[in-house]
Amino acid sequence: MSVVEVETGEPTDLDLAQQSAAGDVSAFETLYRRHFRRVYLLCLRMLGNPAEAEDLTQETFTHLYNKIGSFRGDSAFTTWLHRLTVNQVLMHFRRRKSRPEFTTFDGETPIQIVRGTENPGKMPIVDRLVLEDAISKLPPGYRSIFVLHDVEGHEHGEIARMLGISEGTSKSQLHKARLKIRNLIREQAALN
Amino acid sequence: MDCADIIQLLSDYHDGALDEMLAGPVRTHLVLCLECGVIFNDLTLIVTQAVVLREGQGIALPDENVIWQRIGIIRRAPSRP
Ligand SMILES: [Zn+2]
Repeated sequence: MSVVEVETGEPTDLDLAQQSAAGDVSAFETLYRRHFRRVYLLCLRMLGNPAEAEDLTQETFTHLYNKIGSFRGDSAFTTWLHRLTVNQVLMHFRRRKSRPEFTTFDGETPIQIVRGTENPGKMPIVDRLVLEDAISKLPPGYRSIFVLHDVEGHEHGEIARMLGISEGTSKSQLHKARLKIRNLIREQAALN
Repeated sequence: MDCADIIQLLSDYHDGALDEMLAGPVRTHLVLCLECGVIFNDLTLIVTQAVVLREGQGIALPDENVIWQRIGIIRRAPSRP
């Protein structure tokens, strides 16, 4: 136990995971309440849809309950759960046969650049709502990589491993995702 | 390198993933070319704001009690004193 845990008396995630694995449902409920928000937000970002995000949050915790005994504390629980959540979302994409198009070659889907020169100062304010809206309109493949890299802060190497793609594909898809978001924001602003 | 080549490199340039052989020409181009400069500024704004999204402030969360019920793990009977 770390000093902080001794001071607060809070059980660690590892404690709770071990108790859950031994059949202690209230320990699992504590884990659920501790991590619910983070899992839901990740699902929401990757799926772009609150109803689907609720379903996937439910599925993720159900899966977690069955797998909890395999958490050995080698990594932080949050990291482990994060990966488990990403895998659940990817399986969901596969099930609904909308597997993100990670394998798209560069040049197959060229992103048309919206020129901003006419109004170089007029990029609309990129606030939270504007960006959330643009992310939700991305194709799933672009959205997954943008969320994992730019929102969640993963490196391309990690993303490549999680998604089963090359680092180069992760980089090129991220670039396309950013350009696409830029276009969506500028197009939306032009309509207003 | 023309504008199309430069635009292809802007994310890697932003993320510091280019070696100086490529970063140098991009840097120079961005000073001289207004159009590419605007695109680079836009990408920078997007990436900066994306970091802020991580905390999820202002997002309406569903009722965690409802989803806990849906998970449907049967509670064992409470132990008697
Ligand atoms: Zn240019």
